[in-house]
Amino acid sequence: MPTLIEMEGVSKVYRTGQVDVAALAGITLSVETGEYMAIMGASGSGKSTLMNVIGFLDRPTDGVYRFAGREVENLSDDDLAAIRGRRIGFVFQTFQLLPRATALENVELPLVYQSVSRAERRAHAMDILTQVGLADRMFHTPMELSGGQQQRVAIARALVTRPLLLLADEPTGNLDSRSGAEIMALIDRLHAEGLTILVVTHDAAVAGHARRRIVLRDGQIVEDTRERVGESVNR
Amino acid sequence: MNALESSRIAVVALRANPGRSALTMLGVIIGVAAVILLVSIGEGARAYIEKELTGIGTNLLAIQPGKTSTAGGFHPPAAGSVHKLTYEDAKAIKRRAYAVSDAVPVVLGSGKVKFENLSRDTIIIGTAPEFPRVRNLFVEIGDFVTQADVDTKSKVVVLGRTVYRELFGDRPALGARVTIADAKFRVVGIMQAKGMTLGFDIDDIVFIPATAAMELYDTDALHEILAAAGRAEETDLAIRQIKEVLMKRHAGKEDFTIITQRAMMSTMDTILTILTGVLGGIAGISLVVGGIGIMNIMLVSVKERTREIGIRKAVGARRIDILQQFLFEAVILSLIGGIIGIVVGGGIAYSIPLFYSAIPTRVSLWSVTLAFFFSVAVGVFFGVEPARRAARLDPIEALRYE
Ligand SMILES: Nc1ncnc2c1ncn2[C@@H]1O[C@H](COP(=O)(O)OP(=O)(O)OP(=O)(O)O)[C@@H](O)[C@H]1O
Ligand SMILES: [Mg+2]
Repeated sequence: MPTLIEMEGVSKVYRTGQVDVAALAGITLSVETGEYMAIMGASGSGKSTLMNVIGFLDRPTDGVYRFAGREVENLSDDDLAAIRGRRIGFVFQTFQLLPRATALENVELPLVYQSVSRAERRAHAMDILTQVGLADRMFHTPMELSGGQQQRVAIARALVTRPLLLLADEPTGNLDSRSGAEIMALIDRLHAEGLTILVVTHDAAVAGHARRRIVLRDGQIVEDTRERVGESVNR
Repeated sequence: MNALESSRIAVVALRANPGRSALTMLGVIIGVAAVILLVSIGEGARAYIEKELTGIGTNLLAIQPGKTSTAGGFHPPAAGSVHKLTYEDAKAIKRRAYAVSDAVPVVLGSGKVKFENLSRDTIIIGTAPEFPRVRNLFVEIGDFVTQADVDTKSKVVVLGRTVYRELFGDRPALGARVTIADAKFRVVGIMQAKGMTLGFDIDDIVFIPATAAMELYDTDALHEILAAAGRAEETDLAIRQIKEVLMKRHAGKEDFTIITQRAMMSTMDTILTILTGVLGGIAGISLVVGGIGIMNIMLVSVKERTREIGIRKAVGARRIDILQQFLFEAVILSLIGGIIGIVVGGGIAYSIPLFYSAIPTRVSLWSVTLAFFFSVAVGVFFGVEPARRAARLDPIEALRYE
């Protein structure tokens, strides 16, 4: 499998007043296309920061990050926006849906910025919403949806551009266990269809769905374990 | 993302806050309406005066004592240094300058005109029979001052409409005796009404023979001589002949000024163009204030929608997309405000003359076009900074914004 994500000594330093906080301190990581990886670690260990850097929302302070062979440092902000829009689907811990827009409009949004015609993006968004089981909620605004339904809208939005990579930050963090299980089933299915998936989680059960697991501490990878194919998920 | 898409997003955002959008627009509406309205009043005044001046003929000349450098302005002559213009001068011009068809003496004064126990302060013009013809005025009842009246210094008076109404009401006035500066004058005619213009009542006037006026004011100087060239093409020739005649009579000195109708018109035009510009400029300030209102509301809006901007950026919006979206919001506000302002301002401008005939208005295409583009420019100018702020937001920070 070709390498999708390649990081060498990536660090991210936040300057707050006089003190520098190193949210990432020398991450070296390689993820292949089709992998299903969980990112774990204590609160403040740098998980979200790593996701943001991988997802082009943030730039590393230092180190080299290549995505599908292209080096981030050489790309402009607008290039990053374009890659973010086309190649990467981001599912945020706090959903980040437009509150006044309907589920359908929220899912259409990434396609708006790719100059897809109205009819085409509407049809496509409807299709994806149906796949995540929200065919009967398309014209509801986020406020009229349950947490689990909102999370599925967020996943549908992440998938509507047919990305190479799905990044999910605590996708079950705000959900009860049943909704959480539904979401994980959906993510598992997407992985089975060939999508590369990175999931941030505190929850060992959620991490158990993944085939690979890295643990962060103080911005560094302290553990990186893979399951061999065919090994049971629940050890 | 294309412009259509940006404007759709902008319209949705504006409709989400209809009250706020309407109030923001109101600033622009008032500004544009004020520009249209004030400019239309200035333009109306200009059009009116042009029409009036054209009505009395382009062959009209005014000869005034004293030499002035610029045509059209009137400066009183320095005492002693010049000859006065006299009734004899007027007669000489008429007799000898053959390109001149009329040369009418004008003695200008003011005073009380009394009848029984009523009186009115008014303008008194001492002149000759040709005055109404030259100035495009008409006698309604009776006759104007005749040549015989002038020759014999008859104490006769022709009343302007307003003076007649004030002193006589509806009673017949012909033959009545009115008092002007202790002298009794017999009313021989009443002028046709001309109406009010720009606050001036041109019917508030009386006419007496020039000779009688000179006696009344104890002077032999004329305020001016109104002359008319026989034909418009001969105006230049008439000017040359008047100069020749007068210089011969004034010991070879050119101590008078001949003002042409064209010069009067262009002076008036200049004054009114400046006036219109000043009015438009003052109104323009309110439009700028409207623009600041847009900027203010857009800055608030960008702040409030920081998270929305973060979300849009997170799903692939480029800077230009965000910039366009917010700029379009500002421009749509100013554009719609501008259009409504034009309709409101134009409507008021059209209806003013229906209620106050003394204020002529004219909505000109250039003022509408200017106001329209100015309002759009205001939207762009005051919309750019908020939109740039929105476009520059860091996606991560924007997503975290509460
Ligand atoms: N914008 C910022 N400015 C300053 N410090 C920051 C900023 N964002 C993150 N940090 C710091 O970087 C470190 C890593 O933060 P990060 O959000 O990646 O943690 P996390 O592992 O996702 O934690 P959690 O599990 O609580 O979400 C923390 O110490 C945090 O305080
Ligand atoms: Mg986090």
